[in-house]
Amino acid sequence: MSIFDKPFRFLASYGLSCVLFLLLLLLTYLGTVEQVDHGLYATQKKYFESIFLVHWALGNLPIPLPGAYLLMVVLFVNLLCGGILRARKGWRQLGILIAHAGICVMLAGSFFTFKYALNGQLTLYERQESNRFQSYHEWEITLAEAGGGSEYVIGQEDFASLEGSTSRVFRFPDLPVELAVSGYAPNAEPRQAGQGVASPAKAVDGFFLRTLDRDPESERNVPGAYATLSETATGAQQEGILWGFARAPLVLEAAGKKWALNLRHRSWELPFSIVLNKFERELHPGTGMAKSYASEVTRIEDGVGQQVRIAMNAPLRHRGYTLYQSSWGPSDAKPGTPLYSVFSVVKNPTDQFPLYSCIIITIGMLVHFSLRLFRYMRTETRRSA
Amino acid sequence: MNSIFKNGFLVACALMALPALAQSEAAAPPAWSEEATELFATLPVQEGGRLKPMDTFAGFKMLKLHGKRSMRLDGVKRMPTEWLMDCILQPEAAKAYPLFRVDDSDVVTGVGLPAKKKRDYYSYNELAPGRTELLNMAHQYARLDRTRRTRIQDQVLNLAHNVREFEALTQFADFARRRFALGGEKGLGQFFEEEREYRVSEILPRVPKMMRAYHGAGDGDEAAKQEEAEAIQRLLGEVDLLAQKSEEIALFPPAESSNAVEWRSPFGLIEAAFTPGGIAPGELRMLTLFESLCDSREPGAEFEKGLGALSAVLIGTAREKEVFGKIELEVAYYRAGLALKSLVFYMIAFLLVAISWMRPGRFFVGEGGASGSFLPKLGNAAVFAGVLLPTVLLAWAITMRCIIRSRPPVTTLYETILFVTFVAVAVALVIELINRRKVAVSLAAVMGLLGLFLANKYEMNEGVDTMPSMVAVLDTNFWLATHVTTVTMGYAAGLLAGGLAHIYLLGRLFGFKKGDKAFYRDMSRMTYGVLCFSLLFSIVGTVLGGIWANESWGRFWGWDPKENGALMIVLWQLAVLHARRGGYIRDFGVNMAAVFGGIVVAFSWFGVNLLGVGLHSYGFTDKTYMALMSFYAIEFAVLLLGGVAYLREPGDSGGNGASISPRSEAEG
Repeated sequence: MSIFDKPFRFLASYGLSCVLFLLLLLLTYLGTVEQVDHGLYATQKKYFESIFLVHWALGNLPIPLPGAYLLMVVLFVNLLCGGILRARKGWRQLGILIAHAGICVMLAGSFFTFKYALNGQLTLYERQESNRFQSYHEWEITLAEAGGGSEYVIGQEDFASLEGSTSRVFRFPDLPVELAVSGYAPNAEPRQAGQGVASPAKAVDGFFLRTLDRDPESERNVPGAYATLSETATGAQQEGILWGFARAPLVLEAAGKKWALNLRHRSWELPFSIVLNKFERELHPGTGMAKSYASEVTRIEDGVGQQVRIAMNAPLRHRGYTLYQSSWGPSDAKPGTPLYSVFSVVKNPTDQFPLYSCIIITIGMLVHFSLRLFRYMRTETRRSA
Repeated sequence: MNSIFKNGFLVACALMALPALAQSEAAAPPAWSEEATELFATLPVQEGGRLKPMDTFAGFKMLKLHGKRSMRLDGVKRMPTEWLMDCILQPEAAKAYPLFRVDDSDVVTGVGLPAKKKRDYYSYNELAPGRTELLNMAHQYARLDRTRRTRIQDQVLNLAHNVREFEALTQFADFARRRFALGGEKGLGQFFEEEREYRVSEILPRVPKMMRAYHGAGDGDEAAKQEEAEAIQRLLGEVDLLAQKSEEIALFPPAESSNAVEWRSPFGLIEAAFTPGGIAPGELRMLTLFESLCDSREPGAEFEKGLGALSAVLIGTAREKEVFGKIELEVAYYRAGLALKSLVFYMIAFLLVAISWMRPGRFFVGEGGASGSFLPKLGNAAVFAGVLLPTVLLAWAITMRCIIRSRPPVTTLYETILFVTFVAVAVALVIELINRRKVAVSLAAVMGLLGLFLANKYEMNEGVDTMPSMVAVLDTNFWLATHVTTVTMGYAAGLLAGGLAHIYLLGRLFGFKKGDKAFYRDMSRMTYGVLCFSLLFSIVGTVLGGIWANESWGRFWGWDPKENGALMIVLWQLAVLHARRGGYIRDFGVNMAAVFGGIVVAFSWFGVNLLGVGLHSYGFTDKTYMALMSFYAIEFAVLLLGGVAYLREPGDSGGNGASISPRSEAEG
């Protein structure tokens, strides 16, 4: 008996499968109910995209639990070992083997989607063109010389922890300036100091960032941070406030130049651009309920344009990207108000894996349960006879 | 409806409807002829974004206000269309009907009115003296947070809304009944040459000219112009006020030449007269026809003629615009009352089943026992047919709905109840055909009865159209036919497995077929088989839902509560099946798990919608919430009783030890 036999038997066991299913069931239940108070995004991160978590039962009773991410990885291993490698091979087990293979495909697809898929949104008014789409939840800070020049990007993972007085200095080898970021708040608004507001710990030109409670709907949070731009050589510096909803970039002077700073949603470039020619929405007559909405767009690639219609349940797929008709606005638009169309943009190499897995699982289960039903009917016919 | 709108609505309505408080003597219900009722029932109206027959509009209105689709007046049934005709054409008679259902007499005494029984029906005339107080109280309660309102406060709000909805119906044709004495000495002579009484439809073509005069065009001395302007303002102000009361029903199609799709109420047409373009000739004709109908509002040949003329124009235009659709079929659907008939036949089938179990032998074959004689075989066939008949009716009802809507069978929560019931009963009947133990057919009768009882109660409690317009993302028959149908079949089988498990657990508790290993073994096999069936449809349905979401929104899984509910069913069933194959649970465990599975299905089906978050959240009435809580309580009690039965007699087969040995894990 090899030393690997025991762990392999454990990993392949029905007992492990049952425990995993029950734990996933519990997490799904808790993650569903908790959405009422904490919103989808936070709940998803805590229960479904985590390795471990602490659930607070009855408000103050901590219960440590494995996260769904970890459980699904173990389930994949369990499925591979028990459901495919160790399972008995034969006609009777054919259906189950196929179904298990289908679930493996789905879990693998989910893993790649989770790890490698990009998703965001692209908002266009009629006749507007763009080749960039933005993240829903992630932010970035950009620095560029005002009026042109290369853009330097700092990802959210590098400044999201700089809450309170924590500060970090970002240096750019090609530039004569360095940037210090501090006082990051995931949801904040700039306010004027004084005027009935308790004096803030930090203020810039009479303004400070007021930290707000995090909104359960992650998309509604607007972050802010303090930025200090210094001339590397002399140390001369200028301060400002970065805010996610600022209408114009923050412009600071250092090293005799003007620099534009932005705190904005993370964005990615598409290998083609989209022009919204026309947005159409149809309401059910006499109501405000949308019956359908669709966008007539031109996809421009290498200077060549192609007319495409993107509608609900009819996305545009091209060069590995998929554009879905997501929503539109403004929702209270009066007749004649310019409308904008919002597209969800997804780049997911395993986009179609769920479909493949669904077909495989269906075939497997049909084979298995048909065989069982056939056997059951044969037994009952014998009994009745 | 949000509370701000609610408040404004109530106050505005209270002011508008004060004259309606005038009491009147109860008039006898008008005796509309069958032809007239039929014509009125098939008039198309637009509501909630779709064209529907007046009969459907009337049915749901009555359901909301009265809690039933018919009303007893001196022992005679008043059906929705007749009642609506009374409301519009003979409001004084309708005001005397015991229409408003009040579930707690404290609501009535709270507004200073004498109460009848604890739960009773009140007429508008009975409530009228307390109307102002009722609306004032409702106005205050509407400001409270919904979760903080008491049951009585909710009922006061509900009654106030119902009173207002009734008033909107009874005042609907006020404009058509009103006459204005104008012309000659009575002023506005330049617009109304002849001195007589004028209808609203006769005033409307003159509105543009009056508006021009009002805004100062034309010659004449200032005093005369001032006097004329005041007269115009009075007259048009009164017409406008009347118009505002006629907004409830969008009865009139857009002009034949128009591309518009929105139908309009009399209010819409009257308002059009005030626009620069004025009212179109076709629209004026429809309004005139409606006024003539109200003139001849007494049942009789003249009324039928007027109604026939109006109907011909409305239906003719709808047909020409190819929107008349399945109006007649919809009328036939509601007239047939198939869901209610099914319920009644399931009751009869249930009684038949009960008798067959209590008195086996001469007329019925006992459970599992083959009998050679003719009579018991016939008895059993009758039981089967007794369950089959309402199932066929139910299938017909579902099919009619599919044809009316041109949609697959499940598009609304109400339709899920019908479909789940049908699938559960149909699967049970198939099982019965295979094993002929009379257990599955008995359970089919119970599930059919419970399912249709739930469907009827749900429709009554919610009181809203069960064939509403679909939001944009649902407007796809492919996904409705695949994902929704499949996942709903998963629900049905999950509940059926739970139902079979009840027989196993309660049978053991009460010593039914004590010691009959074969019976309990077969019960478990049935439960297990149905669980497998449920898993197949749940897993495929859930994945299909993900694929649909991927096609619509670009993500396969969004952890939406409804998606999670479906996943919970799949996870639970996978856990049960793997535990069974691993030998961790046997027959007893599978049955206990199937009952718990029923709870998981109920959570997924209705429970997650109560959370109020996600893409599938609906507002439920308190009664639906209470029904769900009661179901949870009963099912947990069954689990408890099952536990008691096991503790009394451990083992799997109703008394004498295990029946199936655990499999080795490698068996697969």
